Amino acid sequence: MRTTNRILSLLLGLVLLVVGLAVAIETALIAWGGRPAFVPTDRWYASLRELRFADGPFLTAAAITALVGLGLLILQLRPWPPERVRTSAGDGPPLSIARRSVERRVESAAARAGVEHPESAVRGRPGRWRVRLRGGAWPDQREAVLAAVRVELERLSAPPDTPVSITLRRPARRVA
Amino acid sequence: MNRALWTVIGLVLLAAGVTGLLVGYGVLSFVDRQQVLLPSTVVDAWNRNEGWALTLTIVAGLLVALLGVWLIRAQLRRRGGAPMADLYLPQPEPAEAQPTGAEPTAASQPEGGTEVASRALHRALQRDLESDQQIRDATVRLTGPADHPRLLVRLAVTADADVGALADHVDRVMHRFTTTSGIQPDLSEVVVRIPAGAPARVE
Repeated sequence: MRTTNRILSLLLGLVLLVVGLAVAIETALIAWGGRPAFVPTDRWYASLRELRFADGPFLTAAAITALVGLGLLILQLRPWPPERVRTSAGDGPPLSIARRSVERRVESAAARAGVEHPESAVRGRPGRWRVRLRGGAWPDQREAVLAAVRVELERLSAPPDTPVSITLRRPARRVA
Repeated sequence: MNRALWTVIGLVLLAAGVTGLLVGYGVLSFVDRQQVLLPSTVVDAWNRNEGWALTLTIVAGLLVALLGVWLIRAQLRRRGGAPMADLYLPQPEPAEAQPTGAEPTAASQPEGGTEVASRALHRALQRDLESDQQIRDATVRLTGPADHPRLLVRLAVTADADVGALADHVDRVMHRFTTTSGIQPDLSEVVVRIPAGAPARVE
């Protein structure tokens, strides 16, 4: 989401630059008695002089604007997963690990412990995070999977009290 | 910053859209829903003050364009500010440079000092960090004043890297860097990343 926001902001900056320059140049042309070069101002003027608040196109535009605004608000205000999480390694400044890297390591550890199609998610805040693991394994493997994940988190110097939740679904068949 | 910006934009769009719908459906009694979007009163006011209106529109357009430039620059700017300037190490004081008891002479006090390129310091740190076999690639960034820079470190490591051992290695590297360069950077961030497709551990 951070990258998406950055790209959106970059695009917004470009739009503002182009629109701002277009408005300034076109208005300057009109001020000096010329005709607008690339914006169909006459057509826009005519539309705005004809379109009423109660008309369908205006209501549609208003509804789309409201929906886009609502969508943006939901996307921005919902909790975001942390970009990186802090470890307890070393005595110096905090060493952080990229969230996706932690998820990959947890998935690898779970796969080695026999979990099929493991999917891991790290949520919370950078300084206080938790791990969620889902995958296919038999219930009697749960303790072994948890132990494998704990060992992996230890190798990643995760804080010792990092909560781990494991949800296992029955695999398609038991491997002998 | 971007999150706050897009939250505000979302709020503005939602408010504008909802207001438009309320006006369009006649819920707001003080606005006539049969009114055109650009009423005659606005056109007349524009025509009466055409000179000012055109000038203000040009200024507003330029301000919007400047806002766009600022926004683009803010997105393209690298984190942490400008890179650290080259490090200048002045000639040591005679009392430090001379053996005890020796008389300082004009000939023994040449003017000048040593300049260490910031790029050289970056490279030295990077190579020292990469001396650990667990580190596949190190990126360092020294920013701020040359006598006390801030340091940001990014490490791409092997799939089975032990983070505790990495932290110890970073500590040792920092100690060596301070000893050799004479500057003690403020290590503000160390981020470890395991690239996708990194070799898996073999057990």
